[in-house]
Amino acid sequence: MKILGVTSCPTGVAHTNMAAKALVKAGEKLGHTVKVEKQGALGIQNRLTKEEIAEADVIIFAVEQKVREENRFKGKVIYKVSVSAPIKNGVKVIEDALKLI
Amino acid sequence: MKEFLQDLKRHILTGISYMIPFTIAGAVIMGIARVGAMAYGVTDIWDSAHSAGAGLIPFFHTLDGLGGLALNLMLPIFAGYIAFSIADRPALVAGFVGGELANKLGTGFLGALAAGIISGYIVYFLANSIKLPESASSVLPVFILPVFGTLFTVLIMQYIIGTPFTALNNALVEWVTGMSEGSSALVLALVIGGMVGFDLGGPVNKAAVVTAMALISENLFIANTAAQVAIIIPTLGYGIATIVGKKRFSDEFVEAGKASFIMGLVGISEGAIPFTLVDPIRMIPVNVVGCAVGAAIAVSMGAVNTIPISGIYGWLLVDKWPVYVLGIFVGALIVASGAILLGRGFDSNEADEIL
Repeated sequence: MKILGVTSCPTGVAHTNMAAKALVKAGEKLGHTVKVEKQGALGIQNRLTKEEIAEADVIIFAVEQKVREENRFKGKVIYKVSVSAPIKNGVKVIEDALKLI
Repeated sequence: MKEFLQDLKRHILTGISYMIPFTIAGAVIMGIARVGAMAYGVTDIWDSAHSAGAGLIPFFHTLDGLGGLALNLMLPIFAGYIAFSIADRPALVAGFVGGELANKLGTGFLGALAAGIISGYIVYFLANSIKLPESASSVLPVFILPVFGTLFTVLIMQYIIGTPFTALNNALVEWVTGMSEGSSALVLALVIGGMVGFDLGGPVNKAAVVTAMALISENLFIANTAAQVAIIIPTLGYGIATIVGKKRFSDEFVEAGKASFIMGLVGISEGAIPFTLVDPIRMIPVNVVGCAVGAAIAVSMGAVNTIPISGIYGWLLVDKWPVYVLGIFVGALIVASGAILLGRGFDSNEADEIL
């Protein structure tokens, strides 16, 4: 499965990165490729490309903020959780997201 | 309903996240002015009497005003980006103007919060309910949404919620001012400190930090002092624990401890999360006690932090910084001893799963 993620938190320095790392790690464990865009204090890092978004099976928003440039994801299957959810249990977040497909 | 509230929380946090840099820039510039003025024995540099004076005093007076400029943008930015989060670009103007009106009316943070939410939903409603023929559709974003979004927002602010919110804000300010003395200050510090330590960046922590930040805009600093002391206590505490009690931690946690300590010094609370997740039943109370006691020590001994910064680079701008730092280290030592003496599972495999 191709899974994408977007993470953000109010300060945009710690939770954003931790959640991104947790999603990638949980994806590896379950055998899925996961790429995560971080919308932190420095702007958008590791930006998801148009092609990646088009090919993705599901997109996980682990966000505490408005998703920047949200219209890129129009029509995609989106699973929205708080930014702390993947930090606590990344595997469960990915499993739940895959149930939406 | 639950979904709506979650979205609303996200909108408010968006507003706060855009507001934070303004608060920090303004408060630090004013802090520099204050510390600089102290070198001349001046403790009320904002007083207009200091626009003339010896040496650098007029300069510091001007600097204080310039910092205030950034600080005064707090409410407009806050309201503006709440509206932006709700209804995107067309709502920004209504939110900004509504927030500035909150400044003028004296409705404070609560009024700005209301302005942001109201303007956001008004624009959202207008954008989704007005249907124009294709050929005229551009009238909506360039004319109708900015003009009527702003007009409705300022009218509601001015004539409906202005007066009650100003009264509410004044009552709150009075209440907290009353709590700023003696034993109630201690209670306030304990509560705010404990809340910050409870879930490290979660909803309870945010409620405390946001309250503290709202009170800064009213020139009330006890809650902020308590919050800023508490924010870095767990991270520093676990860092110290992995240095002092190395044997009780797996290699991965010793590494994480070093990272946690450095994150603590620069004012990031999240380094403590992996440690807390291993043994939440024991570590959450330890965090709460450490944060509450540390905050209470700093506040009761008279430290005042006017800046929403908890990292080491803000310490010297704190009034009575030695007791402030004392509070931080006592709190951190409580967390460190709690982790070493009570913590379970820091050396297990399960722990490595979390990291």
